[in-house]
Amino acid sequence: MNHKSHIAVMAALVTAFASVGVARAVTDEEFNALKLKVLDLESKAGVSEEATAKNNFVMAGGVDVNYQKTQGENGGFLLGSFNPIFLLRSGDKVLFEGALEFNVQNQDNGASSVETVVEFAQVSYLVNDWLTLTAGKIVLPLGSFIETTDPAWINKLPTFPLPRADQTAILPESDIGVQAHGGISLGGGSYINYGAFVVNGPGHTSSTDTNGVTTETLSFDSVENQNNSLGFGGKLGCFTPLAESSSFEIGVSGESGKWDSQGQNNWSVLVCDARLHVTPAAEIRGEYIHSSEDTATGTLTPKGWWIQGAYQLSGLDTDVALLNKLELVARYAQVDLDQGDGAIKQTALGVDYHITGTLALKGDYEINSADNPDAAKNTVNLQIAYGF
Amino acid sequence: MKRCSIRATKWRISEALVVALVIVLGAVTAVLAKDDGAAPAKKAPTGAQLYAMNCGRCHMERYAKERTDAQWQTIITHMRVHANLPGADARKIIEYLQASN
Repeated sequence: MNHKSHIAVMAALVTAFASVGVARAVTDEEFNALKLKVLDLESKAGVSEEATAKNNFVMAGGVDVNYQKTQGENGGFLLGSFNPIFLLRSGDKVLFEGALEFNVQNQDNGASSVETVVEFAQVSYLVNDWLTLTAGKIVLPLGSFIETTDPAWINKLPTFPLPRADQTAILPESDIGVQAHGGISLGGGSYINYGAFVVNGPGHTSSTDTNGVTTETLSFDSVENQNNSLGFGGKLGCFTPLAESSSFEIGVSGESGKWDSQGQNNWSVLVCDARLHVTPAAEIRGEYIHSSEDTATGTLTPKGWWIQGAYQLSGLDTDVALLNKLELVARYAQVDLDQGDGAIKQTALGVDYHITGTLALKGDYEINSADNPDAAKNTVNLQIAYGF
Repeated sequence: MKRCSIRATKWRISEALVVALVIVLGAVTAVLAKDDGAAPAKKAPTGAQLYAMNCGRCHMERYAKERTDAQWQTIITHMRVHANLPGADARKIIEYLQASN
């Protein structure tokens, strides 16, 4: 649509508005006549619904603001994150998805800084109904938590389960590479989902001590391939509706790759995930994660699991508006990083107040238990999460 | 050593609990499936049903009026890629949202 066409449509709109009169209510007949006139002009100008539908740009995403008070420490507000997601679809076959995360944080000297992370940036080609090819910084299909529940407005608690939380994560969320994946319908809404990927794989950070000895430590933050080996992995899962309003899904996934600069030390992870919707209001889900990490001194086996139950009080079918917006959530998680500190255990009890479908107030109390006293402090979290 | 042994035992208990949980979930699944006579598996669900079961299992309801038809096609394609929805099911969801828009 060129500049002249823009002007023509605008002029027609002004004329049309003038003809029906802006000072009085527009009748349905007048509105429909106006709509037809605009569609006719758009058609003449080369703009059609079909053309609009073929290529489309959408900005989605979310933002969350948190208040956190840890036992024995000062409480304070945090801008959890601002996560715009840019979606650009070209026809029915091609989709680009780019997700950024902006975090405001303090540096060691007290000055503030903004951390920007590319959570994922992937282009997908939908080959057919059951095969999609994706390349870029892809979301790894390890479990189902990150692929489907990562946004704060979707996650039912203000924090991630321990095996996936920043400080205690034992598996990566995304990596650069390619993936073949999709869903194979079994009829009746049931389907098998699968994915097979090749990525740069886990990497490492290096540090040199005062004696000049360099030590490499496994890191999931590296984006380049740091050795002569790539990482491989995949997922196989199944979703099935059980009755009118209940469903079950289960999956097994894993990844393996070398993480040190010499390409000699292996890292691998196995994830089992399951989710049961007993009713639309009641959900139980969880994951079991077991990893293995070769080091110069032996093999470490960081592992963890979590289970979460949630119930929307709207399931009680009462007429009390407040109750219909509340959701109760309980989660138990534990993780053992296999670094001699034993397992960290956490019980989180939370309440969500869903102001709208995409705006929620969430709060939880997290009871932590660990050998390390710093990890054993209980925490109160409050969060406002908005999805757009 | 004794402490390591205790931890190992605790982990074995934890792993046993996870296995038990999977068995319980499986049993509940079987019961629910039996109660329903597995009838839904043979019926082709409507777009509205697919929308409820696939979208509603992760997040609260999004309303059809929130987006234009073209935007819904983009967003459900995004969901299809992330949740590995079968193409035919995704198209039915798009048609449902566009028809409700």
